[in-house]
Amino acid sequence: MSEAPKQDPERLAHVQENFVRHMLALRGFVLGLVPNRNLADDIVQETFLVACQKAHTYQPGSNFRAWIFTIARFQTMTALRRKNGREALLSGDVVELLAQERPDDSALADRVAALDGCVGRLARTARRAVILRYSENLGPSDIARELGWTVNAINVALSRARIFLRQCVEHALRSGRPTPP
Amino acid sequence: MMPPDNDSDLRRRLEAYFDGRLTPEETEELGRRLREDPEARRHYWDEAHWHSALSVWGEQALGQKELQTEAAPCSECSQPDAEIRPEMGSDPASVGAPPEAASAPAFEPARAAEPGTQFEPVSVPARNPLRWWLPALAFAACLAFVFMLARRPASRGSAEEATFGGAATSGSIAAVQQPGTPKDATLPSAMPDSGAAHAGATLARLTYAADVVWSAASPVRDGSLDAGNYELERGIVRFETTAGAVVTVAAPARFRFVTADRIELSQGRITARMLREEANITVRVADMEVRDLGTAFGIDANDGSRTLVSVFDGAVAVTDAVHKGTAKQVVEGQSLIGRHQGGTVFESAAYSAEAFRDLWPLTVGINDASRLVEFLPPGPLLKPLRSYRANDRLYLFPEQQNVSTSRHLPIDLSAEVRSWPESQVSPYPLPPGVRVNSYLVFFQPEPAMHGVRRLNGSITFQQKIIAVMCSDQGLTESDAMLGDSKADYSTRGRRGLEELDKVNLKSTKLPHDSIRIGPDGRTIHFDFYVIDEREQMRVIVAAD
Repeated sequence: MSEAPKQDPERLAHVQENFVRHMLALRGFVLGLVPNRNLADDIVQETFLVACQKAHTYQPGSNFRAWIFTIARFQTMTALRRKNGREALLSGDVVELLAQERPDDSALADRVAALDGCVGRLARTARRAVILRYSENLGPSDIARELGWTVNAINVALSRARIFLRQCVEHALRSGRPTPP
Repeated sequence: MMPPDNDSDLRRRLEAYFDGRLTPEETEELGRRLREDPEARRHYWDEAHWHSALSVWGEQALGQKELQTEAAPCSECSQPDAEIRPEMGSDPASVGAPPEAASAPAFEPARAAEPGTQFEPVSVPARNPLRWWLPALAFAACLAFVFMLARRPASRGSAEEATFGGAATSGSIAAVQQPGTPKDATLPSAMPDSGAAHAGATLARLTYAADVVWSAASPVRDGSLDAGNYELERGIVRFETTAGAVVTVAAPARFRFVTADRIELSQGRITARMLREEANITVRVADMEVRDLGTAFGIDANDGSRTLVSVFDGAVAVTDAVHKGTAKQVVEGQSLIGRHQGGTVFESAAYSAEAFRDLWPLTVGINDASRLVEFLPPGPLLKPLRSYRANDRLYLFPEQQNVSTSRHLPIDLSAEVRSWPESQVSPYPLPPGVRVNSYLVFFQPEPAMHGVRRLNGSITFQQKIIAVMCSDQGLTESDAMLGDSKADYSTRGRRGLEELDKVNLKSTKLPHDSIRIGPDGRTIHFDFYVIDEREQMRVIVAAD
């Protein structure tokens, strides 16, 4: 087992500080590559650990975002290789291709902020489904069980809700006004 | 096999992928498409960005919810710095970082999270021990955005002009209505104060008239009532005086409009309700004068020898105008009979509101209703709400009138969101500072109701509907502010409408209830499938 390289505490602090700063975008990136939120969390966590390990390789002043996203990309590939195939995920080569072509998502934070108000405008039933899906991280079949609906009804409800949310958020971002809940 | 996709099919597949709904075969097929088609990859990221945003939002929402519910610190989580450093420092070899890294200032934002905060929701599958700090960091980083959300006050339904000649549905009011009678008459946005009754002075504006025939000499012009003598030969009219009273008159009736706050009634039935505190009206019948004291009352002068006065709300002072005796005060829930025998002799009488039942809905701002809507008798609630039971109709109960909301109230329907429960959006809460009239519409079955009934109809209000509460929460939260202070709204079990199909309930399959505000903004259409449970909705309209 190779000995861990001696870390420069200042460099490590710098990396960690930047990690926090870019974590939202990083999570967005990983969530875009793997839809499973638990797996995405594992990948982000592993990315953090590897970034700490490799902090000495980061050159202050260089593009931290590109550096950390590269680590995350490799961690995603690693995680996908480890998956045992029970979950239907895109294959590594497709994910790699997607990762390379990832468009900048600079509006993520704004979208998240606007969503708070837009979700509040959903009808009660649709809102319940959205909260169970994204806050409680339940799949459609679990949501169907929870609400006593059919799975198909949940799929339709979620799909419609997402269309509304997309329109609502885009409107809010265009108008520059947060949408009240 | 995936067909040669168009965009929408691809989007459906991507949506299913992000929801974890694709089979391995379908996922493989999607992968092939993504591998080969750059445009498909562009669609992928478009969908992925929304999935990411929703997921991040979901975690933040959960974090906030838990912040709110975690009031009591627990022994484990109240340890200082327990948020990050124990994990980071507990196994430095595994992270390749020296122990001192654990106290690096970089983690200050996370440590700033509330002590005692747990981010692990009970219902979320267990995560590994290190993952909990991710939501914490995300939450700390994004908290600012949440605080940036300004709340735009909900838009108000404007108290627009009343119409007369309501919708041509049948009902207790509709019996006197006739399609094609006077077209919309508008009230001025601000009426002048009471003035002297010189000839030609406008003392009131009509706000409702149906199947009405005036005598030719009655000085009604363009929906206005001037000073003078009136004879209503047929129908019911409602008008609003410039002194702030809503007056409803049923034919046959003869009266003289003296000033904006004074009417001399020779014959007929009349009800009056004051719209505001300073409003006033005096009605004289023979020698008897009835002066309001901030009230709603009715006078039945169809019998030449006696006049019935019933007080629905507040009080009135009744005097003999000729003999100037001591004024008698009649308060809500009381009636008085004045016998005209060369002067007026007053007799106390049992409270009687029956003579005014047909006028009462108009008086409280309802222009029309289906036959299956029964109005609670005018006046104070004489028996508990739970005593009003029927299997074949809804009850309508006017609650507080001209009351100002004092805080935000959750609502289910508004002028902007007009159908329930189909609408994809919930309306903004009703903000504080809105002057409203409130009405409770309810179904309450008799104790042994069997079978299913469909109650389908509409109610048309004089003013615009600005909100409807039909959920348990909305109803309960608005009881104190908008409900009648003498009414007992407490119930066991559900009271709101049913938004889900009633499946397998007593082996009966029923569609869900639905309500909708009509294009005129004043009519609420309802379609209820009722069984043996109560159903309620509170309709809020702009104050007069």
